[in-house]
Amino acid sequence: MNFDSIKKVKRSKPFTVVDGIVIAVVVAAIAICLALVYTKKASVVRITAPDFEREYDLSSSTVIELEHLTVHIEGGAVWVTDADCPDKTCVAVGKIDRAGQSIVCLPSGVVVTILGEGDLQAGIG
Amino acid sequence: MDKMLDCAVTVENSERRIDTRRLAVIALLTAVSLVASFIESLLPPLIPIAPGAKLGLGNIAPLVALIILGVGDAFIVTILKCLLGAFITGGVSGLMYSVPASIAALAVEALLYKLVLGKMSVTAISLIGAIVFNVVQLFVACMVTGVDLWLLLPLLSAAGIIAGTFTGLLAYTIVKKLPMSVFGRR
Repeated sequence: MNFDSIKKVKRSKPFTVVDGIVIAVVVAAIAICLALVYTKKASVVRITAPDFEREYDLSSSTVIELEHLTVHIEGGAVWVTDADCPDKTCVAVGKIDRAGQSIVCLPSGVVVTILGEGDLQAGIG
Repeated sequence: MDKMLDCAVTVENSERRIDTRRLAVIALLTAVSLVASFIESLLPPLIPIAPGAKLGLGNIAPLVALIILGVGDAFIVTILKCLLGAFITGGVSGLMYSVPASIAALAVEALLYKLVLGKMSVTAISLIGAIVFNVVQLFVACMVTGVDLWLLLPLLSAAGIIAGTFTGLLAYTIVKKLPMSVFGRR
């Protein structure tokens, strides 16, 4: 038992001023990142798998059948069905429709990401 | 001559003796952590759109171990928790995410704990640990899938802040409220 350490924690406060600064900095950084990502207009769906990479128009109506799962694009939203992985996390995510959002299926290595207009140029270049 | 020999044997024995209390506390913390993780996995996800986001109740144990035992034992609890947790849930593939992320998070927490505790609270140290956990986990995921997943980081970190603050505050409260006699000193 490290009694000095226990006593030190017992004397310490649940929150301090420095905590406030740390939390403020982290929250601000996250807010800026989110603002940069989500203010972009969603336009393109990029699907990547270990042996597959293609981009689709978000406004199109398509069903893409991959080896381990099926991706649906319809009405400006994207979702995954029929995954054969054990956890079905990708299916549970449901529909996504904004730039920066993604559905990731780690067992099969499939990533579905909605890109904004700025990202598209970067992606093609 | 006999007495000298006796003495030598006693010294050797005491050096070899395992600190039973320490062993028991490591085992207890690991067990509590595993049970907490297991119960948490039975509950419905907190945020429906992010089923992977959890409070990480099991992460309280390594933090408590860090405070009451020390850095080395906290690493033992962390690694045991990852390994045994993977065997219980059967998610052995999750080890390549959980082990590096847990170790990196604990390393940062231990460093902050040693250097800035008092100025910074256990709560904030846990929060930073949670974010380190997310970054390393995402880094491994990027390596494994070969896909750029960094767009997920802001959302993951936001969840990490809430989870880290919660677990940190709980670990702090546990150590604060337990009387010294529980730790073996009156």
